[in-house]
Amino acid sequence: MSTGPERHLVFSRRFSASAAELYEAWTEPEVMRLWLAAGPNIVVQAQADVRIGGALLIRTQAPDGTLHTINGTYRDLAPEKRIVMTWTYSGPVALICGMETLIEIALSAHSDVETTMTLTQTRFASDEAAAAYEGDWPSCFEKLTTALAGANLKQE
Amino acid sequence: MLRRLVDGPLTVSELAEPLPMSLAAASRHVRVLEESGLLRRDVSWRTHTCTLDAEPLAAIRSWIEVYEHFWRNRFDTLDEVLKDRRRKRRGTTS
Repeated sequence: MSTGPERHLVFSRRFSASAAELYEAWTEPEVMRLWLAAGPNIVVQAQADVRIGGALLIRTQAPDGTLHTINGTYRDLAPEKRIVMTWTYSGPVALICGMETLIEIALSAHSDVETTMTLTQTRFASDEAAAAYEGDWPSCFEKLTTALAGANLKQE
Repeated sequence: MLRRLVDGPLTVSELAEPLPMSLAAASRHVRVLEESGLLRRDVSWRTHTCTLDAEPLAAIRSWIEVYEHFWRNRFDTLDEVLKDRRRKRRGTTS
């Protein structure tokens, strides 16, 4: 049995925004619509019942009309600090379809205009499987640094 | 446990032997792995032989990859959205 840490997907990034703005990005349907669809897809429906036990729903549409649905439940909410929610994608991408995951968003404000957001995603069912892959997971921080460097260049 | 099964099937006792845990604890771990669909247990007489089922493991890697790609791109978009909103707000308040 592996005794290493259970496998997480972790993303951390420093945004030019307040903690309140980042909190809104996850909890205000109007803002969720602007960024939670992949690639050329668009968000066609966003609902958030922002209370512990409340449901969230995101439905996106691909250019060919295919609909993707994400369902979740808020598990913990601390405005401007922390959001914990389940996140289940229900198709049609078979690989992750129906898989219940847990997402934790942690917000750490450096100032009114600089906040680090860390997203941690774990799979609910198979900690054992995740542990088995310990050491095999390439760090995403390197890629993130590259992405950020690219973004900064674009800005200038 | 799973790593050792890569080399071939082992009995529960063999799996437990190098681990700092009792046979009962090892047996519980085996059951969890079995329920996750990562391990197959064949019972012959009183010997339980465990075989690795690697297919779900391949999928695990993939779900992480799918979401990794997804979040990297979403964060890029969010960054742009937030900058845009800030610019607009500044534009309307000044």
